[in-house]
Amino acid sequence: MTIDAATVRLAQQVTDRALAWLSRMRSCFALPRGVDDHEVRGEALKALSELALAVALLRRAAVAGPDSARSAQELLDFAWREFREGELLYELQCYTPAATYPVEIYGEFVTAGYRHRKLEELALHLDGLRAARFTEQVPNRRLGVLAARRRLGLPDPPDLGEQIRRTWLGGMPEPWMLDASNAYGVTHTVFHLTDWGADPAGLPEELQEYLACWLPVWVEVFAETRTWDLLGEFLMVDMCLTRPRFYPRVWERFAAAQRADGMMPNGVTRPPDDPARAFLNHHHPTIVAVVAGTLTVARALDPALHGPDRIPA
Amino acid sequence: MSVAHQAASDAVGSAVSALASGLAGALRDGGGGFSLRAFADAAGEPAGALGAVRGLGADALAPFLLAGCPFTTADAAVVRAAAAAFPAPPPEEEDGALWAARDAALVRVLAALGVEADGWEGLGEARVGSEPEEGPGAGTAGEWPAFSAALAKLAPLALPPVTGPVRRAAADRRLDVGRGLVRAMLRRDHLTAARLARWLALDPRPGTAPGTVPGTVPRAGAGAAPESVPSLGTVLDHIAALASGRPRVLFELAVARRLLTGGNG
Repeated sequence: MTIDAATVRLAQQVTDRALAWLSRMRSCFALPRGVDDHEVRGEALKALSELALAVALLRRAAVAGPDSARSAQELLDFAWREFREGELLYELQCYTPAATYPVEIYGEFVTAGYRHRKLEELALHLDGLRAARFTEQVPNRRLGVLAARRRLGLPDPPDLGEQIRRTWLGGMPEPWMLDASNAYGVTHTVFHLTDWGADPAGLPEELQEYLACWLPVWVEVFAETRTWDLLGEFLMVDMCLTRPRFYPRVWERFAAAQRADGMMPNGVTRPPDDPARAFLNHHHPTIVAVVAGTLTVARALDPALHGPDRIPA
Repeated sequence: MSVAHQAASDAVGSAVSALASGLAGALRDGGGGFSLRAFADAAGEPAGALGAVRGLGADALAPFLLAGCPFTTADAAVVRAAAAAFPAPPPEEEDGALWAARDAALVRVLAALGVEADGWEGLGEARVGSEPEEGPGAGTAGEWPAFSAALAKLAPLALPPVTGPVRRAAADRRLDVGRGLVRAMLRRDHLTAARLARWLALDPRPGTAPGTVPGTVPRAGAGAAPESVPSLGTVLDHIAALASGRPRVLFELAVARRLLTGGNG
């Protein structure tokens, strides 16, 4: 099988349109003004950090056209300014030293070359504490923390393999036991271990084989149930594997679900006509659409995939 | 579907459930207590009973084939009467190919039980000795979703005496059958899942442990503990746990268990 050029064009188009919607909705990502730092709601931090992640990945892939590349840069600068060039994350980390999320968010900016020296010093200090090794988190989130440490140049712990095996995916469970909650666990386990597709070999071979068997089923089921948010994440997972399949027919359905204005509905709740109200439940799938399209185009251009027999039929 | 089919359909629906329960019980318990003649005689609605026997086709013979129940000429007469009362649609009609394949399986199983069904009225294109063919729509080609969906409809062909292209495709494409099974489970379509589990139970791949779900066995040296590998037995237990009170599903599971444990018990 060769990589379907139509799928790549579709992926590019989905990304461009979704990114344009996010750009227009930029003010909805702004953090509240006149509120104490530690009173900013988690949802607002999460949405802004996910926006930053998407555009940082788009920038890293360097496959966007000039308009999208410029929009991505503007959104990344916007997000960094909203986080007050890292100062907000630093303040949050000082306020709650045991929290892991400030450094997890910061890691996305580190990849893009944005640094905050005091936060990094604080992070290194906290990482040396005994408490850092005993944070109680679900296993896939723990891999997210390890990925953020990696961005700060810290080595993986010696028991990384054991930590992988503690995730749902690492247990290679009966594939029919997947539900929405552990589906997000699966996708994030893959994202964190492969650095969002930059290092497919970071995912152990046995998990690659497990996903080669069952990802086709999960992709099919989420396409049938029009669960666009999860479907987009699973299309991203495919792009993180050493042997991606690209799923051309599923991409057609995913692209067809995108609204004319570029918003990707989540497929679960009905989007209101007013984009500002639709933002609440549908910004996440639209961010996912940007990343899924970006990783797909980038992977299609990956020379490692173009040798004979690299892409399974 | 003919007018005769339509008129009988309500009675057939409940008779199918009753027959499926009887078959599942006979498969589970073994021994000689099951008879199609007795089932037909006990039915309040004779047309319904015949419709159920016709609808289940070769499946109605499973206890005789797999569980040691004695098959009598009276049982064979019920099958013959059912075929005459509910003739298969002509091949060009929708489902014509499906009926032909299922009736070929019926003829094969009857032959295995010592009954010559050649020339019986109402059978769809079936000939003794013929292999159930893949017809239009029977679909043993195509990608795994269409393939596994078609295979589930052909579940009555998943019996030991029935050979042919459908069975060969099922044996060659075990991972695709497993994918269809998992998809059906996620869609809460337990009947399709049970039917596909039955296909997997029919021909375990040589050299692998019987009852293994394809794609779930880590390679030697992989990290998974043995207990994390779901066996086909686990699949059957899981479906049974979710589908209690659904005779058609329980029947498919009972067939699958007999196939897994080697049939004539």
